[in-house]
Amino acid sequence: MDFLSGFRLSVLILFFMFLITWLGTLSQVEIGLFQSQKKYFESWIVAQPVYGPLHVPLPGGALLMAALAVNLVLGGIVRLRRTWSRAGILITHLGIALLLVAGVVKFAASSEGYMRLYEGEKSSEYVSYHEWEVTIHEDVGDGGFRQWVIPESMFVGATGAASVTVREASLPFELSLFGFVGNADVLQKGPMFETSQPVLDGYFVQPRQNDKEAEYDVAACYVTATAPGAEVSPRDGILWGAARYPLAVTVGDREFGVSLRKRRFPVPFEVELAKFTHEYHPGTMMPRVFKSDVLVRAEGSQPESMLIEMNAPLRRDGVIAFQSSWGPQNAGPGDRLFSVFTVVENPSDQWPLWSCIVIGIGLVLHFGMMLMRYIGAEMKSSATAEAAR
Amino acid sequence: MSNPTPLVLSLLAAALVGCGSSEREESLDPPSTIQAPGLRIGATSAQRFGRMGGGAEPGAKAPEAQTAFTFALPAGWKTLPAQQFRDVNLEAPGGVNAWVTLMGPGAGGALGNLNRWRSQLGLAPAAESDLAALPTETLLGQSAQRIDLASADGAQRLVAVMLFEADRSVFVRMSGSPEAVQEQLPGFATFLASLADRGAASPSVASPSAAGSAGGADAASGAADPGGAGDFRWSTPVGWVPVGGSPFKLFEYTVADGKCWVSELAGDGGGLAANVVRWCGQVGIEPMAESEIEALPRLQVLGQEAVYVRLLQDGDAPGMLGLIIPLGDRTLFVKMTGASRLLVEQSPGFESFCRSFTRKG
Amino acid sequence: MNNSNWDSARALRRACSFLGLALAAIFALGGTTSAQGGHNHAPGEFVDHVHGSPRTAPYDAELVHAFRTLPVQDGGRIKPFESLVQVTLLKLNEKRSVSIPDEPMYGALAGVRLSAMEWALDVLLYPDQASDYPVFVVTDSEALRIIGLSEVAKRKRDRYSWNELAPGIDRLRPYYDEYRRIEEKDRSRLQTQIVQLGNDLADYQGLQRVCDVARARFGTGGSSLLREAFGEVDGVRFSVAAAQAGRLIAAFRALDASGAANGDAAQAAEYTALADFLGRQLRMAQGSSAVSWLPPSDVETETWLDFSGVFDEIRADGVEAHSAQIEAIAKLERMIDATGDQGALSAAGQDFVAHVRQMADRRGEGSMIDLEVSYHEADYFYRALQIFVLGFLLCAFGWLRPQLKLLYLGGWATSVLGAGLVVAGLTVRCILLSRPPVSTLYETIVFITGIAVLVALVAEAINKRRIALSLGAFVGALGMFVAGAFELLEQRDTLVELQAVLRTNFWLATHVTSVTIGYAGGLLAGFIAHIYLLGKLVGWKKDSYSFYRNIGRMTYGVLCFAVVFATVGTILGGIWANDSWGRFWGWDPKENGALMIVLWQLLILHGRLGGFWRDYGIAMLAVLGNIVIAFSWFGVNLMGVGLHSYGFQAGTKFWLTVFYATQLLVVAAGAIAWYRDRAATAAAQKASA
Repeated sequence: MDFLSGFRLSVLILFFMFLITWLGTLSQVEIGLFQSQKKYFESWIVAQPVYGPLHVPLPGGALLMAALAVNLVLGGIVRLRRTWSRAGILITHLGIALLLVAGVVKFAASSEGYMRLYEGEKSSEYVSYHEWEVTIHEDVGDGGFRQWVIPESMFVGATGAASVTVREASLPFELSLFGFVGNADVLQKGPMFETSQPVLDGYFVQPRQNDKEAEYDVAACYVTATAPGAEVSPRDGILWGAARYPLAVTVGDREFGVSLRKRRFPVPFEVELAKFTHEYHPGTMMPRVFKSDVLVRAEGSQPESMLIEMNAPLRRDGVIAFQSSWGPQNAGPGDRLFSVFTVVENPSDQWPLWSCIVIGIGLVLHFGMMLMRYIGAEMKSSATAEAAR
Repeated sequence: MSNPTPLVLSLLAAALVGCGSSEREESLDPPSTIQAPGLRIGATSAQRFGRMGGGAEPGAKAPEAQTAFTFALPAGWKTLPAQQFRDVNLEAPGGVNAWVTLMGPGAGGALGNLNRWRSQLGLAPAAESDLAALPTETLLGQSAQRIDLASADGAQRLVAVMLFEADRSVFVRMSGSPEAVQEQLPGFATFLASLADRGAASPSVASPSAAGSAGGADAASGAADPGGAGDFRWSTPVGWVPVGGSPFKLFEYTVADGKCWVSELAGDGGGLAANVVRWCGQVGIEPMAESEIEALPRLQVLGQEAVYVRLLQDGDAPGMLGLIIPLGDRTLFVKMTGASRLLVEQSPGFESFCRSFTRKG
Repeated sequence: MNNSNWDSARALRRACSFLGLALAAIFALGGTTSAQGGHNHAPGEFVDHVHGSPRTAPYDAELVHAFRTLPVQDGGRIKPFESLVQVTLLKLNEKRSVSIPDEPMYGALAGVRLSAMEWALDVLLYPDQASDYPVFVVTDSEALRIIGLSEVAKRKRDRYSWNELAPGIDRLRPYYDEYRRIEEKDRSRLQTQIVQLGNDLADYQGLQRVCDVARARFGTGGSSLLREAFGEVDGVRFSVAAAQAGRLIAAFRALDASGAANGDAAQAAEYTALADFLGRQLRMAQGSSAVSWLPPSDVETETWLDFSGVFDEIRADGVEAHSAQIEAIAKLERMIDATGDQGALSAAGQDFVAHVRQMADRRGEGSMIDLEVSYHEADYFYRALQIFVLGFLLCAFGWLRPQLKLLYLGGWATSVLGAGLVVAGLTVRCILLSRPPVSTLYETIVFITGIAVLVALVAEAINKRRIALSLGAFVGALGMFVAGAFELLEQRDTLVELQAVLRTNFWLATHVTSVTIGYAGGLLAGFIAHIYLLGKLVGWKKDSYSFYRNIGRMTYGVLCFAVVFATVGTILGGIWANDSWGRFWGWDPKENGALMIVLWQLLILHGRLGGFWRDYGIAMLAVLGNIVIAFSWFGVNLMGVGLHSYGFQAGTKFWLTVFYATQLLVVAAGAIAWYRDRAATAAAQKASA
């Protein structure tokens, strides 16, 4: 208990957090931000390469954060002596605890993605940057489709030969997923290719190294559809994140489209991009302003006209939409433009602001009092020095 | 800041499932009904995975593609979805088809393209001297060559305009029955006159100050100096680092960990089969059979049918891309070696590099 | 730009290709038009610009001042010509002036030192003469070999003239074209040099040609239409031709539409002559487009015009709307014609500048021009450097002669004055750019130095032991020196517009300032710790326990100051990121750098509370903290990844490494002193026992 609340642990945690942050920063040159984040900051243990095959185990960001939380709460809040001179420290530590809670809440309960709209287009869903899902669609006429969704968390282990089989009462077949690869090409098997991957209809999944920019990764997997007592065609197929059309599976006389795509999240209102504006600093290609005029429609209420621009997001019903980018890159004047919004749902969105205020107050209080004492002491000592002269 | 939740979840998942388990079962939520007007089910593998289109769209409406050109549609003409090599795809009355193809610089050369069309129409190849006699036509503000051919059997007529610029080649062609084509000639002329580069209406967007400092020593003339050696010119793909020539190589590039070079041998350079078999040996794979060699794909380079050899293995195993271009009295080889993974990545660059070949002068 | 404008440009392009006049041929860099001068010509033929005699007398001071205040648009803002010229010269010459060697070939100017504006006026008005000025720094011998100058034996820092380099441009070009496609951070030293040299030559050439349009006379050829418009003249000036451009373009279009070029021979000749006449003006104007110095008539239009822009606008909207621009060009032509007589030149030049300023005024632009020129003239940060050096010397003497109160007061006065200059300079920058003074790396150097000096002065005011004062002067001098060196390395105008995401004064004022104040505090603590460690090593004041006790407390105090700002600033950064990118923390290198500083400072403070280290340890850790801060400040920008990597310089890398090394050496020195002290204490204890 003494150790858990002690300064020795604090110093160790701070040192290793420093070290991990430094290593994680440097590693971004090699492996990109997403991978380094996974390796250093969202892990319990990091195997840090030192020289050749020699690796040194280091505590990962998750472990350090957990330890920090324990140390901070025990040593910095619970066991802190309640004196006026420590009021600032207590406040500061409470602020940091709030910041940590905000972080946990964000990871546990937030989702993030983007919404891309051409002028005049509208949407009420956004697309995840990293997360995949498999969907099954069946045409019910008039542009309507019945939709089953298999979230990535369900098929997370379906790599290599390991498989995950999903079923649902109203679905006339079972779907097994296997051979999931986070980043892959789907290639045509030529006479010269040798591959250990299954080849289906002349195509196979060729795994690729993860991209440094994780959102450019394109996942792929194999699927097998089975329906006892019914004709299934084709039984086996390839799903690929960049495929232009779904895999068509016929079961008896019903037809289904199976796709692997980035996860979609619905939002409780509809956003229509009325107009996108971008300005350059005159005579240069340096962007000065880009902003989107949008119409927001919630069910049963009048559409509202709103502006989304850099540093001024749209916040509504727990959904935050930020101006992120625009295109097409080669658009000429008068061309139809699209605007991309980063969309985040994060219950702890504003908590860091509160914690920052709390921490600021705590620090100023504590160090201000220290400074006053220091000045007082100096005044006294210089007065003594004068007197002695 | 970070937190352990994802890891905890995945550890939990792993613990629940058990490490050795390879077959898991899950129940889905019941379906919802959605509106998805763009969704089409029923495509072939080629349509699903094809890079360049790979055939007609399975649905009725194609996604609205952003082409490189703007144009006015002549009366009675219709636009069709863009396809591979048809950046603008049009249909005119009377079963006449017209389309615009945008390619890299060179793109088989004027003679190569002329003769490709002539052979499609069953005509004998034209000679270099015939090119000079072609009438000119204004295309995209530049002087372009106009071709007007009738097929050997008189059932078809083809009118085309081809423009070669430093950084691209543009082909516009219209074909159909001679009567119908004749009827559509005014429409074709309107179309040609209206064709313009998308975004070209803002030439000053490339700002003066940007051109002054970033644009470089010859800001005004703009176009980058294309590469070339021997009797040939080409454009260098982005990221290729020139190494230079040597007694056995006209020119060599370093491409990441691999290299690509151009060499020239007298006559047939030892013959197609012998070369391909030798290359297989160099890469360490089973030699190809005669029939396989015959079936190798062809690329149009320098107006010739060049044989395209792709020797690729898994991952980092050595691979090779080769192009054999017979030029009558001599043979030109373009080869690229390196890890197969790299070559898969680089093959579009290699192909566009090969297609960019033109003769000097 | 509207469509009709583009149509006419296309018509001209078509005319040019019809005439076999490839535009590119005119712009081929090598044989420059300005290198071949006034040859004989027959009337009606194309006339190259007329070259006057070289300049022998100095410029009238008022002319030079007027051109300093000429408004131009560059880098997205309206700035005085002086700012543009200084940066251009700095790029070429690595100095803001040109020293003409004392050699006979330079005639009356031999041995003269030209200011940046005098040099620029020579390049504009006497291009042939200026082509001999040695202004290009080329340090790489391989680059010299490529351009064919390796045999010209010069010392390393000697400058080359345009005339020496120009013949090698064709040899340079293939290398240049290749290397500039390589990303800046991946370029080797040679590649960087080649690209830089190519850019320098292009910039110089741009400036050299700016007045070509005003110098040129366009022949009317055999065209009766042109003769009718302009009379029998020996070449038409650009302003005169521009005034008629609307009519001529209409005539050209009529000829074009009637298909004249394919029919009647006389009409075809007329068409050809007209296309040639207009085409030559267009090409000439395009060659003279390096400076955007003509305010547009339309108030809505933000982009200022260069000569080809004026030409385009006239073609698009007719002559009437652009009489002010045509008038400006006419005034420039009159100035060019007066280059033989300095008095007349000065009058004509001032007239031109006054006209352009008036045009800008009418648009409500250029009001900051005089302030910016005065900012350059005041040269706040260089003056501050000088004063800080003086202050540091006074303090140093003060240590030798502690009884001389005057030295101490002098140290105070100079440091306050230096700090005042820094604050004044930053304030002027705030006014010029309408934003807080910390958004580029250059500005952070100046700002952090200013804060560090102010904190040092406050510390001195509290404890009056001269340590903080001396250090303040030293840090001030060092910071101003680094700022100057960085400006030289970066080679661009330090007054820049910001891209969209940074254009928020609220966050710049809160997050950026507080983080940089944190940097400043951390660095100051590190430098105070230098005194502690190095003093201990050399045994300075070794008997004074209270001296070191004091330094130790000061280090700690300043660290506490730093940690407040670093922590709050870092969290504010997260809040800003949450507002602009949708995430509070993204592990971006710059964010991590700020976090590392906070963690390091917290580590020092908590370790002290835990009793794991005392003055020695804090001093060593504070010096290591300098490395952490330097890494976060400059190091992460060199990595070339992440959202925040907005600055990159090869030279920065070298100096950063040097800085890391010196800090490590200081820590090592401290470790030696600490070990020695401990051994001595142990021995003393043993002896007493």
